[in-house]
Amino acid sequence: MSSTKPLSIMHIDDNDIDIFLTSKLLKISKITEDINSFTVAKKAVEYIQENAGDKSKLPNLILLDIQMPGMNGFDFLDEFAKFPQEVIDYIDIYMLSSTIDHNDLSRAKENPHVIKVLRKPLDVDALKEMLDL
Amino acid sequence: MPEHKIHVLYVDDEINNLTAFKAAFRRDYKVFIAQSGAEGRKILDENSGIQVIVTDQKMPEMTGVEFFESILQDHPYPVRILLTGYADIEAVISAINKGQIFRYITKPWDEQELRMSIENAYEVYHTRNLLKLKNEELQKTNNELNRFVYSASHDLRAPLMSILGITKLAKLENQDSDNEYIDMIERSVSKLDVFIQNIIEYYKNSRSEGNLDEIDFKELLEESIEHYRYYKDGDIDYRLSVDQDSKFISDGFRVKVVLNNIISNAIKYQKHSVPGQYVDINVKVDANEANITIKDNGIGISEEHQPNIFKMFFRATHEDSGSGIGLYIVKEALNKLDGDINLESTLGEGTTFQIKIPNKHE
Repeated sequence: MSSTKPLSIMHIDDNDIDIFLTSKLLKISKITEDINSFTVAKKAVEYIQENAGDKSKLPNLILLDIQMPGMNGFDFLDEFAKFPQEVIDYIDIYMLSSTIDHNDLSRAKENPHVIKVLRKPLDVDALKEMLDL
Repeated sequence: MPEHKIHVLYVDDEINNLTAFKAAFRRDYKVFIAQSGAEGRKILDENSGIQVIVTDQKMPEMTGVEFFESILQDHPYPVRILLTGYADIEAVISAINKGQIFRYITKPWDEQELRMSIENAYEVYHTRNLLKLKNEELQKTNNELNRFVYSASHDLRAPLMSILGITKLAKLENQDSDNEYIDMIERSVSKLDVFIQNIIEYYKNSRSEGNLDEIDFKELLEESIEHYRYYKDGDIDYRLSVDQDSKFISDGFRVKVVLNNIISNAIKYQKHSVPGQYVDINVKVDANEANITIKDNGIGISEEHQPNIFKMFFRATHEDSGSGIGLYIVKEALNKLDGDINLESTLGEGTTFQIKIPNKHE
């Protein structure tokens, strides 16, 4: 990961309880205080679009839910692929989902922009290990 | 006799035959007549309800067989009867072999014979049509059920995982206090979660046609251990050894179902607070098959229960979170994989499962 700045996480999930929980877990486990949450994936796309030129405002890690109304996780990944290469290279995407659907899981794993598929609830120790924290 | 009139198209270049046909059948059937293939086609294009087509073979411009061939694409459903003299027998045989013609009748036709043939042809039309409708209905139901299971699995499981997140957070925030109630909530949630997973696995295993995927056993098993180790407190030693030089091809979903269920059992049915707990997984893959051994030193299964553990809803123990369908699904999934499973177990000492899955790699 190109971490020229402290870990900044964008969390995209339509469920506000999960947004709250993940944010708390990340803070308590001291992974980061810098969490920007979106319950609507489209808004997250717009945010990245608007700030594509200013890395200080971009997250360097995205936690992305799969099943969401409107734009779902896969739709988001399609939009993400259209961003400038330097934005794509700057941001690591982890899927964070409760799905056990075999198709969804393999589809998420096969996506070139997805580093790893994580299961809910977020396992902070495993995430720390992955990020070498 | 059908309730409504059979719709018959009769094609013949001789006007006398057309008239005779109409005279003979107009009372019982709705009769359409055409003097040539081209005209017959036009009538078919304009009347979608035609169920039986009778045509003369010997016509100028287009023969009966040629006429049938020309309409096959656009009008596949009407059942076809060919009228012919003995001289055209070769053309008839060829047409019948191509599956386009239901019956042929030699000329001059006998009214009784032709009537029987038309009625039989209608029966065929009617049956095929029913089958087609039923198939479409079935397809629709299947699609709806698949979508339903997909969203139900998500809508059932997502809130459960939220609850697990909350309990986790509560434990992190109150690390000093006794979390007995929270542990109970977690155990109940896990039990429900296993049951939801099993229902979905059962459903998908019984219906899925099966895909062929390339399987990396190391990755698959590491994932499975990672997933299930949090279902049980205590220190279990996981020993994983995978010897895979060959490419392994099988149905990824079913292989996963088999391994996940056996591993989750090996973890679930450990003894309470005993040191030295282990789950030992050994995989050997060659060009023919994968041999997987999963061994634990858990509570074991008594000899009297061993013959029954693969039966639906059989539970050998009241311990922990068994739904009684996990091993049943394992067996069913292995049947579909052409695989095999054996067990050795001693009560109080542990269980070893031996699984064999054929390699579908060419």
